[in-house]
Formats: sequence, structure tokens, C-alpha cells
Amino acid sequence: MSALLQHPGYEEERLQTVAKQLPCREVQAGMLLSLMGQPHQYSYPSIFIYGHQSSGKSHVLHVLLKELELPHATVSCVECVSVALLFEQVLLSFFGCVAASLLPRSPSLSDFVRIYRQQSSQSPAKQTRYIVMEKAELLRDSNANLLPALLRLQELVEDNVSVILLSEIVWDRFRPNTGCFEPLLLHFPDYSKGELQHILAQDRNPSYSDEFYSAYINILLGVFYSVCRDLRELRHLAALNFSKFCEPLAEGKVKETDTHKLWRNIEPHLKKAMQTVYLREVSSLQWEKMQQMEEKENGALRGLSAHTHVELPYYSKFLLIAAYLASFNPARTDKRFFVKHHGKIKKTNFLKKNEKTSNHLLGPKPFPLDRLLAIFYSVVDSRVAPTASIFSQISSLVTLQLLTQVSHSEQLDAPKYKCAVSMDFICAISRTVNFEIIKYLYDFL
Amino acid sequence: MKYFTRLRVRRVYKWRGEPISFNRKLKTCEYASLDISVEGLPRVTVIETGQHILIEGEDEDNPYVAKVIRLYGDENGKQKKVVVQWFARVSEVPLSKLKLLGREPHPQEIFYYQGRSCDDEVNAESILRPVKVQRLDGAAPFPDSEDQDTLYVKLSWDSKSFKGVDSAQVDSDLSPDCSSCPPPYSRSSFPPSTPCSPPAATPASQGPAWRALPTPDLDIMRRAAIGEVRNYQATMSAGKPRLAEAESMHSATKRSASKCLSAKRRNPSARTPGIRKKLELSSPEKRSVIAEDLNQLLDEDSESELMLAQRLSSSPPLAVMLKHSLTPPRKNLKPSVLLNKMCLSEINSSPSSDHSTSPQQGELVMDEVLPNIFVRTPRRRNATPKKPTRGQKATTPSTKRQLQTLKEPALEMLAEVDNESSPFVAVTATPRSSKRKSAQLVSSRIRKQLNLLDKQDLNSDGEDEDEFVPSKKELQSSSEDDDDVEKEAGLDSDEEVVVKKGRHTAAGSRTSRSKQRTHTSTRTPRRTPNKKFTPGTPRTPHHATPSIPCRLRPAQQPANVLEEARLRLHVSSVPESLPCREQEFQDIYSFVESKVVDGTGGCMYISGVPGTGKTATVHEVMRCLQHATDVDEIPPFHFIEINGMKMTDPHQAYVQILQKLTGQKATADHAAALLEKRFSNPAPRKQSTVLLVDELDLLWTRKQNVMYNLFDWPTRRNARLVVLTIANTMDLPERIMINRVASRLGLTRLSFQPYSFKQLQQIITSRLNKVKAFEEDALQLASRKVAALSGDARRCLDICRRATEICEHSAADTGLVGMSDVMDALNEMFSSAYITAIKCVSVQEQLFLRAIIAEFRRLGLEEATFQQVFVQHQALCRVEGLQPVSVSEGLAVCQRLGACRLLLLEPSRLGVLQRVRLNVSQDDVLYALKAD
Amino acid sequence: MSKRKARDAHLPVGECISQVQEILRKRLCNQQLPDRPEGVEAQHKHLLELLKRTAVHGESNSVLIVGPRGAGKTMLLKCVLRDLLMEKEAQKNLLQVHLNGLLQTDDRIALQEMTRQLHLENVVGDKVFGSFAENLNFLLEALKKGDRSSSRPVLFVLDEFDLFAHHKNQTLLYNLFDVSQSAQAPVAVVGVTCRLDVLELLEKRVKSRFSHRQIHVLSNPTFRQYLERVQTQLSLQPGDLPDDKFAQHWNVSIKTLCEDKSVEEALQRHYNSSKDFRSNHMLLMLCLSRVSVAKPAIKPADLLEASRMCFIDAEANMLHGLSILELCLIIAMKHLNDLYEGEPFNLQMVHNEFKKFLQRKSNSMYNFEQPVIMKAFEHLQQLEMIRPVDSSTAKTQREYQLMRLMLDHTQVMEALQKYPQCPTDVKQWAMSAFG
Repeated sequence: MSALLQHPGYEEERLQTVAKQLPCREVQAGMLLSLMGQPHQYSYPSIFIYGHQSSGKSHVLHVLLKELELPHATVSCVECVSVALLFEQVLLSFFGCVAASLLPRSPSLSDFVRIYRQQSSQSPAKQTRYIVMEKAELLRDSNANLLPALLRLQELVEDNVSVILLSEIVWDRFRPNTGCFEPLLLHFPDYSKGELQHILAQDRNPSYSDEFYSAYINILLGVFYSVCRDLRELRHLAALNFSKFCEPLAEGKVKETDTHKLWRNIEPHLKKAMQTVYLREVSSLQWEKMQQMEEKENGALRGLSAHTHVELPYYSKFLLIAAYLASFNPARTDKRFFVKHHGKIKKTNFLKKNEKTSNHLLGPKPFPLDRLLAIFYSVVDSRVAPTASIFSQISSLVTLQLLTQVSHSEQLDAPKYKCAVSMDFICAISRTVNFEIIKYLYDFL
Repeated sequence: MKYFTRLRVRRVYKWRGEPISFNRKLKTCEYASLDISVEGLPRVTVIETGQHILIEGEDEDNPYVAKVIRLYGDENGKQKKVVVQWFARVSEVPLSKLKLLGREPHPQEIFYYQGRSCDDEVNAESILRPVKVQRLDGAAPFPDSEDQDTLYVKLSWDSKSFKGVDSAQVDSDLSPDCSSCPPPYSRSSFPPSTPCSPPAATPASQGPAWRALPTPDLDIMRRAAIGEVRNYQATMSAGKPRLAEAESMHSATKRSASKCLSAKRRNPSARTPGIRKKLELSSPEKRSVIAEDLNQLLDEDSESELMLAQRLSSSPPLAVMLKHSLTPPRKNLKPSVLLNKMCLSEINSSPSSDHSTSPQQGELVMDEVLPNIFVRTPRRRNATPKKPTRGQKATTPSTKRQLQTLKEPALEMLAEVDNESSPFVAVTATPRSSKRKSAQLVSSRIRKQLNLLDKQDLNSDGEDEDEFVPSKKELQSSSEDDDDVEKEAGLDSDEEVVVKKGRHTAAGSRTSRSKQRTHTSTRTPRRTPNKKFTPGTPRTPHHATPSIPCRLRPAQQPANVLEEARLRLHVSSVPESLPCREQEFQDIYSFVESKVVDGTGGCMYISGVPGTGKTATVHEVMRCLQHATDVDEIPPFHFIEINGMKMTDPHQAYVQILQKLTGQKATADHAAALLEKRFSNPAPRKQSTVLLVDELDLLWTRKQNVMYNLFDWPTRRNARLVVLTIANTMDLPERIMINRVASRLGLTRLSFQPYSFKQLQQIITSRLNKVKAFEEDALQLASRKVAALSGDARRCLDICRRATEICEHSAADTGLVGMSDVMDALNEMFSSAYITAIKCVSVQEQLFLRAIIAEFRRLGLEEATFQQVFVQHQALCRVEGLQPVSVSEGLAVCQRLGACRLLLLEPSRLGVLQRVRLNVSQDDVLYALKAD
Repeated sequence: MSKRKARDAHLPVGECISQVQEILRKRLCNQQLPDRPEGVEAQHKHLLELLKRTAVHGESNSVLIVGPRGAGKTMLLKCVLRDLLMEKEAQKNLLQVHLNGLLQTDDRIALQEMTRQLHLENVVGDKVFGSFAENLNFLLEALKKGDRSSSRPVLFVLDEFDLFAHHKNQTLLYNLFDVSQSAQAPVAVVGVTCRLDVLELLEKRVKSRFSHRQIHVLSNPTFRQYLERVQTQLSLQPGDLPDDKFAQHWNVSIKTLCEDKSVEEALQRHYNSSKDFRSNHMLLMLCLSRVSVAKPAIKPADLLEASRMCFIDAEANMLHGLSILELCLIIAMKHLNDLYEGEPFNLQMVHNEFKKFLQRKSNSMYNFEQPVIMKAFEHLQQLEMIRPVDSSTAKTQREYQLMRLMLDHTQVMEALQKYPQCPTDVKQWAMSAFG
């Protein structure tokens, strides 16, 4: 494989070390290397590398530039809240702090280029200088001229410098409106399943055999691969669940080879993990705790989102329910649902005409306050007076962001609200006040 | 013009005598006195220790005042240093401090400077000339003499407070030259802010005598002055008849009627050359005549020289004349000796005696001087521009002003004669009528010239043979008056050079109205950034001068007719006069003139599309008015110009106005306050100010206070401010101005109509007068086209210029620009590049354009998303049998078209959703695509 | 055979290769100037004449160089300057000021830069003293002082000219053009821009002062010329390489390359898509980068590969990297688009669509919890494959926020074809007309 990493400009062993550090990325590394050419040769003014998260873009570059000791500046655009920081970082890593200190208070591009030229004329580049911009998509949001200027920096500063942009967004979404110097596009493909396996298998726990660990990885991928191909995620999950995987082994229930048992043992945990850790609903630490907890009482596993419910005052719950009904039922159906003593009703009225999309797809509709109250009085069984407490509870629901006020706040008469809670949440709530909401929902007739 | 003096005339600084003492440690030798001479002038100025001198600074109207303490230099004479005791002018004291004074400071008051803030060692090269400083004690009133040239010390100033000066030491300073004679006739017309306007010949010619006086004795001096004037008058009146005669024969020399007119308009100016001409004609044996002409001449000379004297020499012109008379130019060392010999003699002679002697001296000079007039004349020419008057009087440095410098002396005298109520008056007609005349003369001149052009049989005269010498033509810049004068004055070579230069510089600085910052620091080694110059800290004689380095190789002159034509057709080349704007000229002229004459104020709003000669006309008017002032038809006035586009923010207007008015630098608010004060409270002998505000609309601010002030000041009772505003749109006042502003602007409106094609044609013809470079119909084509489009004269000229180029490169080399060339030029400039561009784009891009049109047709809209167009594009590709392109490539194609604005696109981050619109008409696209 | 030739060359083949690389990289990356500008001789002449007149006769001028990106505007200008400075006359006199609209983003900065480059007297070191207003006055004064015959001509080059037109009041442009039209220091103002409509950007008084000279750089080579250009770009001039043998051999190989049918087709395709130098350079650079000691010549295969890289659809690449779930969501969106004629959709609808699919026919996929879907959804948004219709996320819940799909259906389908081990039922679902 390392045959790809041959280049006259550099020593063999260096390239070897590089190759070692870049599993499954030899092709890309080789391509980059050949584009960069020998250190003293000119490189293409700007190269744009795109690919998915953790497909090794910055890693490859970092390893290459570091191992081959090429002059380079790595800037992450997330860190650079202002261009000043960006300029400073570049100057700093090329010419040292003296140059960086030359920048004025709020430097313009012009200042940056001027200083760069000075410095580079004082210390001409024997090797190509590289500026690596991570998360380049953020450059679009900063100063409009920044991106075009960077792309033709080589021409502007008349120095053998090459700007490498890394992003996970395609170049078509970058082009400024009046065009610019087109960079050379390079794609880093995502790792194939095999490659993932290969890479993950590398950081195995020394106390276990290779096969065992790769089997584990295999199972892990089996569960997660269809959802997530992010190497970093998978690493994390692998590390997190490995102990669980090994448990039966420790207890001596099964042998290493009996992958089927192991699989049956681990699979539910992984499923759970997908709904919690993977979604970052709990930190991995909490996750650990939950594991232990379930050791004691192995209750039915429920997604975290299920047991999210806040404690609310009694009437607030009803208010919330009323709000939910108000925002998911068409107003015309209120009569049918909430008018207490209606005489005999014509069947036709209840026949819901089959609309293309149900309200639960379109989301909550805004409703006026009085409608909310009307529904509220009809759903709450005991008689309540419209006291200030009710209204204050409404506003507190708004502050809890269970309701959202859609009408402008200055519009005091007839404010409009929208219910901002999910179906299962409201179900949980109504269960606590044993009010079966489904019966009242138009979509579920 | 200053630029030019800086280039041409350099002062040479020499130590005189042996060093008094030599400082071993510092390796410096101290000297008693310093010589300042001007290249090409044998005259030498002496600076001794103890003398008061003017030192050049940022403001040339009032240079720094100081007293020489020590003069020393290093032994090899490279460095010349002067240790001085500074004096602060009123203008140099910050206004806030000036309040401490408790009274209105006298314009010529200076303060004995005790602040230690600034180093008292300056380069000798920055010395301008000596000055008279007189000490008064605190109680004494300022002598109400009109002499602009004496400065008075009452108090001392240590940058914090004013104190009385201890008479002892200041007196000791002042003793050498504390006295001067107020010249009897220097007129009130000089602005107060001019310390160095030319005083009469006589008193200064007596200079040395009084310098010798131990103590000031004012009334003696007055008597002296009177006596002086008397005998001076005598010589003058002697000169008169000759004058008249010279005049007549001068006008007789004129050929073309037009010239005659123009000459009458500025007869005084013509006078000097007339005489000189005569002189040259007349052979030496006709003594009697010459003698008188000489008086005439000499007085002029002595004056003009004196003006130099004011500027750069302390040596009295009398001495100079002596020197000349006794020593023909070859002797260079003699004069100095002579000079101090004379000084000595005067020192031990008593005042009374030299009153009596002086006239005779004057006389005996007169006839001795005869041989070297001709030597002297050229010098006078290139000396004159340095006359301090130019500084603040010549607000418009056009070549006419340049010319003025030549005739100035004569004017001085005439004017003076008027004062002396002599029977003979030079300018006969009553001011008003004559002024009208002069205004009309311009237009008449234009007409003359034009029909002179029309009938091609040029009654051949000296004029057109030199028209066709290219070398001459390129300096054919500003006014043909110059030609007359040149011809009559029978130019000797270097004179010509001078005039030439004069014109160029005049042309160069036409737009420049501010005469601040004229002194160069090219001589001074170290620069100081002009940021440091706040009015408070005046003590930096060295000063960053804005300047473009001058070229190392000379510019080439036009070689053939086409190049000549191109030169004349360049917008920058100043026409002799503006044809086709006579009416507007008249209106503006009479407006401004009337205001200036009766010292009132007013506003005028001038509108017109770009390139209709608004600004040019106003400048023309100003030139004429300036001329009028120079011949004393109307009182003198400041002319200031600001341009809304040439300032970074509307409030800068205040700063610029103030600076051009007084040379002060201030912040916007401060400047506003100062101007407010200046225009609101009455001042005696205030000149009226004409303010030209170009690109008025740029001065718009939300509260419109800038405009408000500009229009409000003229309404003040004693502002004497005339505001001319220029903008492009006719209804600007109605559109952008709030009522109180608009109403102040008033209803004096003038709008410049776009040029008709006839006018344009006329303009071009007048520009290349009689340079035959164009076929008639070619010109007509160009002008017709432009008139149809914009009526913008600039456009027309540009087209013609381009046409000449094309003609030059065209194969068929008929040195004449024909229709075809003009056609090409027009196409180059007016045909839009879109169609050619579409023809040149790549196949895919053309396909994409097709796709767009197809999609538009389908939707019946003028807009579609990329996605929709892309579908069409794919289809077209298949039709054309091309490989279908990928979306990325499609986007690339689309955005390439967007980059050169064949398409209008939404931001690219919308990807395939971005909406696409054509920036060209569909027909154009189809046409272009069909073509190939 | 190339191997053999190389072996009996004087220099080791590695040497030669690296030198070739160096030379060609200079051409392709560093935009090294050609000896004579190709295709724009007329423009070259015109511009040269113009600038010469400024430098020699001190005639003020202003001109715009207009042409699409990568058509060789800057190249033209640089060539002209190079040729201009050949002449002593010009080179002794001419002062140059180079501004770039990308860098000098407003008049204050631009003025400072100009003052600096002119070495006016308010510059000390590279500090420019004085406020914006002072700088402006200073510069104007300076130019005013000059005159046609005595002061050095100044050449102002304004790259990305259109950006200068966006400065406040266009003060800078006004003044530059004003100087160029009034008898002050001789200046030549050269604007370089890619916008054909640049004149419409100018304010009328600025426009009036601009002498409407436009030099259009619209290179329109025929395919033959294009081919030749490629060949000349790649082949070595005699004397470039010490080792003539290798040089000859190299040139021969290039020649054969250009004559190859498949190569010609590929190049034809490039020619069709764009004719400009830059994209051409990119292609050649990619080829060049594949030259190594192992194979010391550009083979047709290389060029084909390179052109493939140029033409590949980036979005398709990204789709390739999505997880099955995300892909399914995209398919669902596609169906929604078909269903509701490109009406925006929200997560709920997509999820619903997805569920329908699962219920009907899915043996491979099983349902995921809403949050998991949500995460996938957000990932897609992060990749800008979907985009919220209005950016106001505050009011509405995420699952109800309206979105649009930013992919063309062709892209989706292609991606599906390429997608590694894509379950067949998912494929079918995608194919099926309505979900």
C-alpha cells in the first residue's frame, strides 16, 4: 500500500511513518502528496477538499504536513470568530510572533497581505507554505471578500503559498456571486464498512483476542452502521459498550467464540444506546450509571424521551392539554367535541373527510386565548373561575416553552398561542390526570 | 505656480566673511552674517545676528517670525544652522488662549515667544527674509499705519499666558531695524491677513537709510515719506505722456480685431510690453525719450524688485540698482562689498541728510542704469511670480494671473497716481460699464475667433504661423492674450521658457484654489507627518508637502498632427474660452459681479447633467472677475472652491473652507464655529468671498445643517459671501432640501442644457483650432451621436480622441480622421459587449442560455430556479448529442454566466434552488446565438 | 520505451522529472507569463499604446479591461506592463499603484495604500499618518501639484474594479477619473473586472468622467487552437531542460497524447464546458501531478482520470457517504416533492412517508425512534442537502419546521445506483412513482 506514498521530494522512512498513521487513506494521501509536489516546487494556489465528517481530511493533512515538516498554518474557522484571529494565527505560524504583532488593531485584508509580503520578502520561502482552513464553510459567513482573497492568495502575496480548504459542503455552495479563482477540488470518500471494521479493530483491548474484538466490532457495526457512519461516533460507542459485551465472558457463561450468545446479550443494550447515548440525551457518564441502575431492577427499557415529563400544577396540565387540542383540532370540530349537552347529532357531522395530510403532520396551528379557555373549561371537570392564577399559569407555560405565543407581545387583546409539545409528551401528561386525550383528537377519530 | 517657483528659483545661502569663532568640541564655526542670493540674480541679501527674520512655515501668508541669535555651521560649510528667538503670530496662538488677551489682537501683533516647547535651532535654508519688528509698551495703542509689513510686539507668550515683555531685552533685539516708514499709499484693498503686500518703491528704496537710524522716530519718518512721495510723484508724472503714447502705439501693433478688443480689455497689462518693445526699437541715441521711458521702467523695476526684496532680500532695492548701475552683471563678489560700504555710509550719515540725498541717489541711478535694463528684464520675469501678493490675492492662478505679475508694477503706479489725484487717469470708463464691457468682450472674442475659424482664408498674420509649430501648440493652453504679449514683448528664449512653465503650472493648478502649503520641504531633510500640525503648535518649520516626484525624462512633444489634435481634444486641455455658454457666462458673471461690487451676499444654484461645462464656466467667470479686480474695476475678493465629492464627509466642508480662507487647520465643529464668527460679525475692510460648492448633493446630511449654514451665511448682513452651488439635478432643492434650507437657497437658478450637436461640433472645432485632423462629416457624426445620447461634451471629446488613435493605426493612412474611424470609436464605446460575450462563451454556456429561454417560455415568467432550467439543459444536451452534464458542472456553468452578469443569480448557497434571471433581453440572446 | 530512453539520458530520470514538474508547475500554478499573449494581440496593442502615451507623452487616460474569469485579463495587463517597462523612457518615469478591490475594501484603506505605494511625504516607514480626510486632501493636493510635462505619470491599476464601485459615494473613483480628465499630474487608471455591466455601477458624474474606453478580453479559440494551447502548455521549450534527449522525448509523448482519440474527446468535452485558461490549467495540473519516476510521461489514462475528477458530481459523492437511514429520508423527501409539486415539507411528513414505506414493503429496514430520525434529519441539514424555508427556528418546533430538498432527483437516483450494498427494496421504493 505504501507504494502509493512514494515521492522524490521526501525521504522513504518519513513516508513510511506517514503511511502507518493513515490507514485506509493511502490513496488520498498519495494524491495530495503528488499535488503538493516537491517542497520547493509551486503547488496549486488553492485546493478544496470535501468529504463527510471524520473521513480523515484534517487528519491526513495534519500528518502529512507535520511528518514531512513543511511550513504550514492550520486554522479552524470555528475558532476564528474574527478575521483578526485568522490573520494572526497565519502570520504567527509562518513568521513568528513579531510579524503577528505588526497587525493593527482591527486588521483589514489589506493589512494582512501587506505584512505577509513584507515578511515573506524578508524570509523567502524555500518550501511551499500551506494554509489549512478547517470548517471552511464558515468563511462564507464572514467578510465577503475573505474567501476570494484566500483562494488567490498566492497571486496576491506573490509567495509560494497554497491554501487548502476543508469542508463537508460541496464547492458549488461556496462560489461568490461574481465568481473567483476556482480551487482544485478533491473528494475524500467516506470509509467503507470494511475499512471501518479495519480501523476500529485496531484499537482493541489488549486483554482480549483479535477475533473476539473484531467480532464485537462486527456486531456494533451491524446495529449502528445503517444509522451512523461517523468513525468518531462509532469509536465512542464501541468503547462504551465493550464492557457490557464482555460481561457474560467474565461471568464465564459463554466462550469467546460463541458470538451468537454474545450477540443476543449485547443487542438490546446497543439498541438502547442508540436511543440515548447516540442521541446525546445522556452523557456517557450518566449512561454508565443507568447501566448499573438497571443491573438492580431490570425494568423495561424505554427511550429517554419517554420518561421526560415535567411536574406541572394541576390546572396547568389541563391548560396544556386544552392547548394541544386547540392547536391540533380544527376549530369547526370543537362543537362536536366539547359541547356538553348536545341533542341528537347527525352522523354526517362526525364523518371526517379524508384530507391529504393530517394536522399532526402539518404541526400545531395557532389559536386565540378565548378558544383555549373555552376548551379548558370544558375539559377540566371541576368548575374554575377565570382567576388571575389561570392566566399567570398560561404565561408560565409560555416561559416553560410548552406554549409559544405567536402573536406579537404588544398585542394584548386576543393573544394567540401554539402548543409546542410532542404527542407522546402530552399523552404522558394526560395519563397523570387520567384524561384520555386520543378520544378528543380529530386525527385519531 | 508655487510649485513652479520651487522648481525654478532656488535660493543660495552663503556665509559672508570669515567665521568669528570656531567651537572645537562641536566642530562648528560661528558667523556674523549670512548671504542669501537667488540663482540668476546677482542680488544678495544679508542676514546678520540680531536681525528679525521670517522663516517659512506651513502657512505662506504669515511665515514664522524670529530673531537671529547665532549663525553657525560645520566647518566644511555643509550645514547652516541658525539659533533664533521665536515670536508667535496671532494666528499661531490657539484661539482658546487668545481669549486671555482680553482684547481683539492686532492683525500685525506678534508675541515674544517664551515657551520652551520648540527647538530654537532651524536650518538657515528656511529663512525667507528679514522683517521689521517694532516694540510697543503695553499701554500704547497700535500705530494705525497701513503698513502691512511692520510687526508689533507688546506681550510675551509662553504657550500658557501673556506677560508684558521686559523692554530691555526685546529692545535690544529690535534696535537694528525697529523702524520703518508706513508707505503712504498701500491701499486698504489688501486683506488684513497679508503681512507682506508690496509697499511703494520709494520708502523701501530708502530702507537702508532708516535701518541705520538708532531709534524709531515716527513723525520724522512720516515727513520723510511725504517728501519721498513728492519727488517720486515728480518722476511719475514725467513718465505719463510716454505711457499714453506707448499705449497707443501698442494697440496700433495689433492686427486682428479680436486681439484689439482683448487688448483694450486689459490695456494696462499690455502697456508694459508696449514700452519695452518701443525701448528695443529705439536706438540709444534718442536719449531724451529713453531717459523718461527709463524712469518709467526703473520705477516698475524698482518696485517689482522691491517685491522680491520683501520676499527674499533685505537689501534695499536702491542698493541693488546702484550695484547694477555700477557693476554690470559679470561682477559677482563686488556687490556685497559695495552694499555694506553703502550701509556704513548711511549709518554715520544723519537722518535729515539722507532724506535730502535720497532723491538724488534715485536720479543718478536712473540714467546710469540704462545699459542693464535688458539684462534685468528676464530676471524680472522669472522673479515676479514669487511676489507675495500672489499668495493671497491670486486665488485663481490662471495664466492671466501669471501675466498680471508682469504688469503689476504698472498698475501699482497707476492706482497710486489716482490716489495722488493726478489729472491723468489710466482707466477712464466708469467701472460698471467697463465691467459689463469686459464681460461681453469675452463672448465677442469667442464669436470673433469662431467665425475666424469658419472662413478658412485666414488673413495670415503672425498668429497662425506659430499656430502650426507643434512645440508652441502644446503650450497653447489657456489664453491667447499671452501670445500677443509674447509677440510684442519679443521674447528672448529664457523668457519664453518662463512663460511656458507659467502656463503649464497654471494649467496644472487650475482646479487648485487653496494656496496653502506652498513652501516645499524638499530642502529640509527630515519630514514631519502633517498629522502633527494643529494650529496650536506652529513651531515645525519643516512640513510634509504633497507632491508627485518630477519625471526623470522629459515628456515628449506631439510629433504629428493627429497627436497634436489628440492633445487638444483631451478634456484636460483648457480651452481659450468656452464656446456655446455665452449666455450662462453672462448670467453668472453679472450675478457674482453685482454682489461683489455692492458687497452683499447671495446664492445661486446651477444645475445640469454632467459634462455640460458648469464648473468650467464658473471658473471662466472667476478668471475674468479676477482680471477685473486686477485692473481695479471691481474690489478684490476671495474665491474658494469646495467639491462635495472631494471630501470624506459633509462636515469636512467647514474644514476645507476655513483652510482655504485663512489657512487655519481645525476640526469640523471648530471650523464651523470660526466660520460662523467670521461671517456673522462685522470686520472693517473685509473682502467679499465667492464660494463655489460643486456636487452640492453630496453635502446632504440628515439634519442638513451643512447646507443650511452654507445658504444662511450669505444672508448675514456683513458676511459679503456669494455662494455658487452646482449639482446635476434640476429639482435638487425641491427633492432633498427641507424648506428652511431650500428657501435660503433662493430662486436664483441656472440650468445648463445638454449641448446640441451644433454646439458640440463648435466646441471641437474651437478646441482644435485650425489643426486639420478631422473630416467635417466625421466631426458631425460624432457630435450628432453624442448629442442624441447625452450631450456630454466629455464623451464627444473622448470619442474624437479615440477616433484619432484608430485613424493612426488604420491601414489607409490618410492623416485625416474619417467617418469610418469615428464609427469604430462609437461602436467601441456605445455598443454593449453582451452580444459578443455571448458569442464567445463556451458551448455548454450557450446551451444553458438556450435552456433558460426555453424554460421562461414554458413558465411564461422571466424567472426560474436552476433546477427547472437544468432539466431543460439536460434535454438540450441530448438534442445536441452532447454528454449530459452533472449538476455540479451545470452549476459551474450557470455561475460562470452569473459572474460576468449575463445572468442574475441568487446567492450560490441555495444550490439548485437558486433563481435565475437574464440580464440581457431574450432577443439579444437569441440574436447572438443565432449568429453562429 | 519511455523507460529505455530515459535510462540512457544524461540525467537520472528522477532529476528530469522533478525539473519538468518544476517548469510546468510554474506555468500551471504560478500563472507564469507567456512570451506573447495569445488570442488577445489586438487588445495588447491597444493597451500598450495607451499606457505608452501616458508614460511618454504624459497624457492622462482611463480604461477598463473587461472579460470573464480566467480569460486572461490580468495576464494581458501584466504582459503589457512587462513590455512597457522594456522601454527606458517608460521605466524611468512611470509610477505604479496596484489596488485590489478584494483587499482595499473601502476608500480609507485604499487611500492609505495608494499613499504608501506613492511614497508621499506623510508616509513614514509603512505608516501613513493623518486621518481619512487628511489623506484624501493630501493625495489630491499632490496630484494637483503635478502637471503634464514635468511630473512623473502615475499608473493606477484597480483589480476587481467593480468592488470599488461599491465604496461610499464612489469618492475614490470620482477623484481618480477627475484627475485623469483635468490637467494635473498625468495618470492612467486601469480597471480590471469580470462584470460586463460594470458601467451601470458607476454614478453618472463618475461615469461622465470616465473616458469610455473598454478593452474586452473575450478569448474565443477554436477547438484546434485549444488543443494547440494544451500541447504548448505541456511541452517544453528547447533549453528548459539540460537534458535535450529527455526534453525531446517528453515533447514527443505530449504530442502523442494530444493526438490520442480518447484524449481528444475528453478535451472536447472540456472545451465545450469552458474555454478559459484557468479550468484548463486545473485539468493539466491534475495530469501533471500523476507523472512520477515510475511513469515519466502523461498517459491518456491520466488525462481521462483527471477529466473524470473535474466532471464528477460533488453532491453525488456526498450522497454516497450517507447512512441508509439518511438515504431513506432523502428518498421520502423526493417522493414528497413529487407528491406536492415541490411544496416544502417538515420532518413529520418525511417520517410519516418513511413509516408508510416500512409498513408496506420493508424486510431490510426497521423503524427508528423519532429522535434518531431527527438526528439523521439534522445531519442532512448540516450537509446543506435540505434547507429550512425560513430561518426563524425560534417559534416552531424542529419537527414541524418547513424544509426544502436541495438535490436534483437525477442526483438521488444516480447516488442510489452507486450506493454500496443498497437494499433492493429501498431501490424499488425509490424507483416507484409514488411512495
